[in-house]
Amino acid sequence: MADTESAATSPAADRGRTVIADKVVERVASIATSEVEAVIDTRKGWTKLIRKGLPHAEAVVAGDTSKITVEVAATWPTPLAQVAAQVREHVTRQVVDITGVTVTRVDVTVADVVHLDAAEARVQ
Amino acid sequence: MTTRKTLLIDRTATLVLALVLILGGLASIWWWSGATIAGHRLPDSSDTSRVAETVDTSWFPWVAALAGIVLGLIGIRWIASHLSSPRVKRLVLGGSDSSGRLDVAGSKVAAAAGDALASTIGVRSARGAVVRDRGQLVAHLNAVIEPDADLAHLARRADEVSAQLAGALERDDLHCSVQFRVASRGRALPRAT
Repeated sequence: MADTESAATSPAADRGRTVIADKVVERVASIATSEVEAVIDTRKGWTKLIRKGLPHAEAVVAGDTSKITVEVAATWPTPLAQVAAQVREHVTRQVVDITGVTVTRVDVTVADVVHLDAAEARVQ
Repeated sequence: MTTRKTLLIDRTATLVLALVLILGGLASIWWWSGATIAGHRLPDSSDTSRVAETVDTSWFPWVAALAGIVLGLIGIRWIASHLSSPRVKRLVLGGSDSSGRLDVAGSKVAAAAGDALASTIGVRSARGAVVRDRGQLVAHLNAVIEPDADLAHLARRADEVSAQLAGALERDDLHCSVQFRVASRGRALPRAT
């Protein structure tokens, strides 16, 4: 009991080290990307399980900072610069809020642009 | 990528080659006819002794080798300038700064514009590509249309899609070119059963 109390009152740095893995930041960035309006999820069925397709995020975490690269699919005809900027802002905010890792840079590539009517026609 | 510089070199080389061939052809005709022009007449045989003397000099092999290497490198550079694809893979979007680069796959945005054009009644299929043409950024949309398509409607639709593409990319330096090709025969409709 005494050990537990002393552990709780000692400085956080003495109690242990918290490491945020690259995969965690990538997952948070990927989810944050899909929350932006005009960004669509091209993953269907089994591709969702293996996380193929778009959106896709890669992150490099070094200490408390991270650099993130995101690839997204947007709908046609949306102003792509606005969509990409929204993705960059939302990913930065969500990664900082959820993981506490500082984001130094987010590169956003609109890797696909989907005309929804044409996509639906192809499915039919 | 065929740049303006490459095109200028191509045209200059073509002009020089054409002039050499024309002058060579005229000189051959003059030599064959044996005519005297302005008091001059080409000799019946040529004297190659000066060429033989030049080839026998000690410096000639080095100069010939150097000239061969330089000409070879120019040739490789010239061919390479024609081999690279004119297609633009990435288009940088406005808003790129130190906090991150924003870009788009050129082929994908042009393909989406092609899909939008292909959804028009009277258009059988359409494709798009963004290329660098003589230093200009051009989105080419090529569509195959039905022989009985309403051309006025298609022209309006082409303007709409071009405007949508300009709005999506928001780049002042992008030009849009829409080309319609009439299908050689009407589409075979499915047989009613």
